[in-house]
Amino acid sequence: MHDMEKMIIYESKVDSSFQSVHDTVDEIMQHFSTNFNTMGTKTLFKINFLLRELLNNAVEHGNQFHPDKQVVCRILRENDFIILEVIDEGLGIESDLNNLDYDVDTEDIILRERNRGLQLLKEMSHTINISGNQIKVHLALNEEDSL
Amino acid sequence: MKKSIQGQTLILSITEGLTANKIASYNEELDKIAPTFSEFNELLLDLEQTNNIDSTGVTFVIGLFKKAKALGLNFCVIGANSDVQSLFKLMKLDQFFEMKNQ
Repeated sequence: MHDMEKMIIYESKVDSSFQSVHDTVDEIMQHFSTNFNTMGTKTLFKINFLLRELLNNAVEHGNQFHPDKQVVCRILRENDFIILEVIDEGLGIESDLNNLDYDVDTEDIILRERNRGLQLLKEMSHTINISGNQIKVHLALNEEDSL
Repeated sequence: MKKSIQGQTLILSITEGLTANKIASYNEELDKIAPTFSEFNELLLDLEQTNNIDSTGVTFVIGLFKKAKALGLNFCVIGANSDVQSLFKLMKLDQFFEMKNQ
């Protein structure tokens, strides 16, 4: 792959409901299959999953399902990375993901009811940056993705 | 969610995504079905038609597994595609229930 400028692949605003998130992610995945049909299925699955996590979290915890608030969803491509950027209208959080301990393998931890999304974001992404009400996730493209 | 019975096995088939926008309605359906669980010795969750999943969907599967286990039913996920199976393995859920390709 050649060095390339950061390029916006997709940008839209999402209403604060799980249904809007679903409709938006469906539209994005359709956009990817039409315009990037050589992208590998594993990468497409990760993008689908990560977008749902980021947007669900933004509409629920950021915007608290407020009907007048929206979430900005932006997808960019920079060299060998896809960047997923989500900005909500909430108060923002301070979170150090490195301090979250998910390495304990007890039954209670594995089968817990909460915080599964953060763990998966951490495990599927290359890097995660959280700044106030904005979260940016870098996803590494691999050899199966001949973009 | 579609329900079918084969002898002592109850099969629940997810016909759409396992995603946050659907989970509330699945839980409502499950509340109606769950009281019959004790009539079976096995619960199969068919994910053959499930391409979309998020962590809410994973939590739904875990909840179903816990309900089955509490009543002594064997629980198994069938028909999940390789990406969904990899996700469950990443979550170490394969330590608790089996996944079969059908």
